[in-house]
Amino acid sequence: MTKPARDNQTTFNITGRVRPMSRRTMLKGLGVAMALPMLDAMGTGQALAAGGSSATPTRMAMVFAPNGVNYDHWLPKKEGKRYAMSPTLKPLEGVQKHINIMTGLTLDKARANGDGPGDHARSSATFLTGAQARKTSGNDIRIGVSVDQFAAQQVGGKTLLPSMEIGMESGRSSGRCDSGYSCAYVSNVAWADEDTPMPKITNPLEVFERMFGEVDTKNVEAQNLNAKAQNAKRDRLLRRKSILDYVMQDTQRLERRLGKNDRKKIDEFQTSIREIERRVQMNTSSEQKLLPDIKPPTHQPTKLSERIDLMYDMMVLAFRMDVTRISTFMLGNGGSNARFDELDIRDGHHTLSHHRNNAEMVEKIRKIDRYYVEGFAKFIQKMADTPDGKGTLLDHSMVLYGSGISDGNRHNHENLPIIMAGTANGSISTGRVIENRRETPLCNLYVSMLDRMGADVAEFGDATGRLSNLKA
Amino acid sequence: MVPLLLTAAASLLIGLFVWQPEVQGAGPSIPSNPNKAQAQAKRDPLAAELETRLTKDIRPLIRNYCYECHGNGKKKGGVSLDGPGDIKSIMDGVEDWLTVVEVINLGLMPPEKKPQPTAHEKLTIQQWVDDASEYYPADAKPDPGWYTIHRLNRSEYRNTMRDLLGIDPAKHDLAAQLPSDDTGYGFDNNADVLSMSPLQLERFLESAEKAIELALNSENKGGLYDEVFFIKPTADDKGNRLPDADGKKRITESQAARQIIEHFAKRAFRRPTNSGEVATLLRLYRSARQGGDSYESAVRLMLTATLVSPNFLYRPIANPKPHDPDFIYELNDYELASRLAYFLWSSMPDDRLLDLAKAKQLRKPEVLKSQVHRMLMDPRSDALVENFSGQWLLLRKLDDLEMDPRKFPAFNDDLRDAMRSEAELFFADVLRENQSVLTFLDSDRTFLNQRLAEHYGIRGVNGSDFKRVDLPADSPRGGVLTMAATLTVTSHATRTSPVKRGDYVLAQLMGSAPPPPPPDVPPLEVATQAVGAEKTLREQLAAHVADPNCAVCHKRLDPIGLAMENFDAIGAWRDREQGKPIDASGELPGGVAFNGPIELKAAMMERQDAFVENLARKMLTYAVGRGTEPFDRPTIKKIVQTVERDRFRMRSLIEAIVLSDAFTKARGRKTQP
Repeated sequence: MTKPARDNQTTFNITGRVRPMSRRTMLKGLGVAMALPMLDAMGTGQALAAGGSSATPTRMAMVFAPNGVNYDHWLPKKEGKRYAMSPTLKPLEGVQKHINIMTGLTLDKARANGDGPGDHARSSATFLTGAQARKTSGNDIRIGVSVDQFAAQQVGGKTLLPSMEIGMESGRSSGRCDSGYSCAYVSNVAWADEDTPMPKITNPLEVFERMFGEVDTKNVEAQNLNAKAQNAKRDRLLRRKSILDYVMQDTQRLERRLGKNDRKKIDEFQTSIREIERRVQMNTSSEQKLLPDIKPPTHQPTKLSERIDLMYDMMVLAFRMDVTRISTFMLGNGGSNARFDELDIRDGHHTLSHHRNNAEMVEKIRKIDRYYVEGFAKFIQKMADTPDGKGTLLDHSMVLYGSGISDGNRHNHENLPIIMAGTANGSISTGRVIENRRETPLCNLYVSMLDRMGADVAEFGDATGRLSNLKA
Repeated sequence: MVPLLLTAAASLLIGLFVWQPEVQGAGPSIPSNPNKAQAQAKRDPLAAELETRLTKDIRPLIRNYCYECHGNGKKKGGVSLDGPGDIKSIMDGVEDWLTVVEVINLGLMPPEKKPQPTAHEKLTIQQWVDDASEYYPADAKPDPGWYTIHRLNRSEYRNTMRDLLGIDPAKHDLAAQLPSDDTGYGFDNNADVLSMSPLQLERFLESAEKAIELALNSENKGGLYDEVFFIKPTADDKGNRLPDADGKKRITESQAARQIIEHFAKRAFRRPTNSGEVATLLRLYRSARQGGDSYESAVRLMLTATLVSPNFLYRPIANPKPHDPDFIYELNDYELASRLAYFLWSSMPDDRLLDLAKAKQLRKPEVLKSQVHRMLMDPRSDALVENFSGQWLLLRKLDDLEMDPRKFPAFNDDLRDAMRSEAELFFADVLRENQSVLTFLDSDRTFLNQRLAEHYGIRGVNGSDFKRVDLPADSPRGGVLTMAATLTVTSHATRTSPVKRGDYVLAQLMGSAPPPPPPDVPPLEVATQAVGAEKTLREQLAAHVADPNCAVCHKRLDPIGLAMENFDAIGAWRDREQGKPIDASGELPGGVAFNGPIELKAAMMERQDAFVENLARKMLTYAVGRGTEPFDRPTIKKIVQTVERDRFRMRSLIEAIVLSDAFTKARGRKTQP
């Protein structure tokens, strides 16, 4: 355990339920950390990560959908061993054998727990961290490390990018975000530590360039790296290395003059330097060639669905080329008010999510839910169609799709809509509805995912154990 | 484990409340001596409000739920909730009040068998305790607050590169690929929120490479190009004369490199460099030369590295006791120059400011004032217009706003741009002409081009250029509130939102935002379905006031927004809605009544003190890049008084901020737990 999950101030109420204290009352010290009981005999992470079969690495992708769903139309009907897709999940029929529908999972720390309104900010902030966001507009942001970063910090060093953060909406440009929560909580799901978000890229071409270097958009065909270009690239990387050496020295000099709070800021800087140094090192020591069939996404489609597809494509590409094994994708920011011209829906997503069972608005929400699921289904199909080692990419992946809010109308955080896809090198049995006991922490699933990534995890978020039902 | 925790929680309840003397019946607070009562007459309104709320809202609740054991002289477990209820006793007892909230929220109190407060009642108590715990007397000594090392945000980076290197951002936007900055307290220059990630640093590195390449391109003469190539080495480092160096003063390549970097780093770091800093940069040059780089290439490397240095990307201060909250550090002249430049220009200080800093003149109040004047008249202060007004007035929201084209076919990019221009030009005019800030509330002129004038139904403005226009005497326009930009960013895609407009007035302008709605609140269309969609918005909104839970806030929000119902969702005038004439009358709790925008503006003008205080708070937040805290109240009060004395002039507001302790000083901050 290199980096302990943050000790949220927790206490028990009379009924014994864990509940964090309100922001103000945090002042009092009743803190208690919860260590994970070693509940199951699943064995060590390494064994799981290897999948027992091949050396093909396991990939992990987390897709965040904003505003919850209409749960009535989400939950599939179980029919004996099989289950029939719900109207919303219908687009996933083609890949049904590759997925699991998870029920009963809860994000307790996304609940108010004394902090009042702000469920949308909490739903994004807590989604991958399982931690209670400190309610602040800025001073003293505090949440916890997210599951993807937890994995990246331990096992991400094997690829060019330890992790890749992408999304459809950039940060809010002005105004308040959600009920007194900083916009940082709303526009990020990935957190390197308790107060450092990992910003996302929202332009597919920028994602591409981050993986493969700058694209000459005027001359895409000639892209494929002749010897001269290769040399120039190597030269630039070497220069970068010496620049980073200098910056590190300069940073150490500066750090000595600073107080602890500022040092934390500079720590972020140093961590970033080291990460880029590592990447430069990797880039100079390995020949990186684009495959001929890979084209940079030089055109930004106007349709939202096509832009979403393109972003998913970048994720497939990253996994296929083993540029990274860990990625997060925000379909929208927390409380996203995206509009859906293709569906002829003029009101924003968030506005509509508060439908209070108005038939017309519920119908629009269902359309939006299904629209997002369609994009996800195409992505899963592509993963299943992409060869990787002795199988397909999907065989070697676990993809989580879901929201930090269950029903957008009720803003509840139990029974979250969560889909898992891929067998993670044969360590997950798919094609099922996996029912969990009510109030099972979503973080229990995350711990099980971290095991499969080969990360060493003793505690994470509000996890109380592992899920033992992933493998039938 | 659980019993242990329960014990711990229970121990909180022991020896709690300290208020004396106990007051039977706990009626309205009775001041303990007559002097105090006198002092109360001209006392802090915030203190008075807290006292009133205690008496009116909180006492009845705790009397109901707690007094059976903890009031009227009873103190079960040593806990009594009696108390005189004046601000001093509230402040003294704040820790205990926090415990009350805690035990109520934890469900420990009232005991299970006793009547329980409703969620709304719990919230009422919690909000009062929250407010009480944030109370800070306005007359206390100003506390400068802490300083957090400040990373350049996108706009600051873009402008700094422009001024440092002479690269025109319109041609080459070096900030284009930087990730968007998160905002805090409404602004994207909040030091605590501005973070660093590998992606961010990678982009800074790429931008630095690109910037030096561009700056040293011979097509980019002026700026850095001249500085670098003006210094020409005449000999190599072994002492051999270089080919075309005949007759010129002898200067080796190493010496030239040193001169270049000494000059550049000083400007990039916005302060004199020390020898260690220069030496490290020169080491980079030397190792590049040893590795076979040409002189020029090695110089480029050194320059690029400077732009990735934390001394360039961040603005640190040299507070020697950063952990001591009692030690007040005065920013040195260079630090002050940077703070001033990033406030007014979102960019680095220019030579004039750096010279004044070098001469240790800058901190003199009259020098600071004259610099403020000079800087506001400089076009670089457009950044203040764009960034401050863009975020204060929510103009940036216009950028990604989409209106339903079927309902508002007139809304297109031309109109969108015109809306933004009007507001920005108006703000710039107040700033540069040093007008009263009350002009934001109401004004008899504005800035229009033909497109926007037609939208407003005003004749005689031709062409796409903007000009200052005197508004007709009976025009409802004038001031921020009735600008199309404001009216549009506070609307939904398909209709107006009196609630959002009310919230805008309260939160952005008057500084008294009501708490956000409870989570399960439905949008209007649903809540009012029973009323029927063919009804006017006013009729639909009546549902709010019918529900007491909603009424608390909506009695304040809705009347304000409804007074502006004559403006549609893109700010055009209309007389009817749903075929019925618009009723724009309203009354706020407390009996302030108005009908339509003109009277609403007059009513806001009556509360000009609140407006000025709010503007001062927002601008201070922006100026120091830190959210304001309760301890900033004395600073803000002082600023407001200065502004009032100078007939509310804009420049006096900026000067007062620049001269305030919060701007010129900083204290340490205890490490976070």
